[in-house]
Amino acid sequence: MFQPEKAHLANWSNLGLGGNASWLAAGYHINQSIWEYHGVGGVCTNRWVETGLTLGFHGNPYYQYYAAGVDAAGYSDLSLGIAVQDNSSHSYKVEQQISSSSAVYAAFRDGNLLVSYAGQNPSGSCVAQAGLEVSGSPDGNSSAANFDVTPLKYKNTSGTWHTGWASTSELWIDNPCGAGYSPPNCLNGAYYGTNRWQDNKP
Amino acid sequence: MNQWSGSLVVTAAAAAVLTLSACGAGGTTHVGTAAPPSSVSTTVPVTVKITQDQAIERVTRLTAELSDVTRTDAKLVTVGDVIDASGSSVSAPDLARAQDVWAVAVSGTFVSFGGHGVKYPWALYLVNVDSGDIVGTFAGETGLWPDYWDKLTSMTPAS
Repeated sequence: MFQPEKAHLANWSNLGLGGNASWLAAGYHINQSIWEYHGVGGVCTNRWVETGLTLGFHGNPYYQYYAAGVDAAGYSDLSLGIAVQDNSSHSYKVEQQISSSSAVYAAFRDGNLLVSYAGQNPSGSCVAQAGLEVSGSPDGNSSAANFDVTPLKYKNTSGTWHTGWASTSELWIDNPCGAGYSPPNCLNGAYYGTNRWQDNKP
Repeated sequence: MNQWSGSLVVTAAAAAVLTLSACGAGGTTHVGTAAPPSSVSTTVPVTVKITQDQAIERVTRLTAELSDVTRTDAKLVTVGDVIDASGSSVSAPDLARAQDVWAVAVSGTFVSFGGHGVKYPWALYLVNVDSGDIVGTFAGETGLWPDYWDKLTSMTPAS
C-alpha cells in the first residue's frame, strides 16, 4: 500500500565521475543524485525535486553540483557551482517545507538549503531514489567510483525520522554491472538490492 | 518580470552621474539642466565575451540532449528575468539572479538533464555570457516554443 513520506536523506562522498571529452561535449552526463517524486492529480511522476553531483552538466566538462525539478510551470535545472573531487562526505536531503499543508519541497546539502520548488503534492512523496544515473547507455565513455549512499533516513507523514528508507524508496543505478550488464556496458557497482553500494565501498 | 534588473541598467540618476563624470574628465557633451524623472531607466550596452551566435552554437552542439531542432533564437537577459517570465517557482538562495546570460530558445526534442531524461518539445538554455558555460535550462510540455519568449526584453551587447 502506498505510504507517502515527507523527506529522504542520503549521504555520499565526492568520489570520481568520469567521461571522455567528446562524450561530455555532446551533452552526455553522469550523476550521483537523490530525487523525490511528489506528483499531483494522481500522477506520481509529474512533480519532483532532485539534487546531486554531476559531470557533464549540459556540456560543461567539469565536476559540479546541480539541482532540478518540475513544478506547474514545467521543468528546470540549475548549476549550483563547481565541486571538488576530494572524497569529502556530505548529506543530501529532499524535504517538505514548513508544514504538512505546504506544497513546497526543498533540497539541502549538509543542512543548507539549495533549491525549492512549489506546486508539489502536500501529502508527501510517492517515490524517492538515490543513485547513479548516466545519459544514454553505458558504453565505456563514462565511469563512476563505488558510491556509498548510506546512512539513509526518511521522515514519515507524522514528521518522525527513521533510519533506512521505506518501501517506496530505493537505491538506483543505471545498467548496473552484474545485473544483466557487463563492462563496458554497465556502471560500476553491482546491483545487490539495497546493499549494492555497501557491498562495493571503495 | 523586472526587465531592467541586473548589472546592465543604470537609473536616470546614475546615468546623470555618469554624464557629469564624463564632463568632469574633459567631456564636452550635454549636461541637462533638469534631472529626468527617477522612474526613467536607461540601458547601457552589456559587455559579453560570448556572442549571440556562439551562444546558440554552444547549445545546438548538444546532440545528446537535442534533436530535430527546427528553430533557435537568443536574447541577452538576466537569470532572474527568465525565472520571473517563466512562472517557475524555483528558488535558490545562492542563485545569481542578476547574472547576465544568453537565453537560447530551441524548438525540437529536448531530453531533460534531470528526471532521468524526460522528453520536451522545446527548451530554453541559460548561457553564461563570459564563459559560455550553461547555468540552467527550462522546458515545457506544451507548444513548440516558450510562450513567455516575447516577455523577455533583450539587452544590447556592447560592440
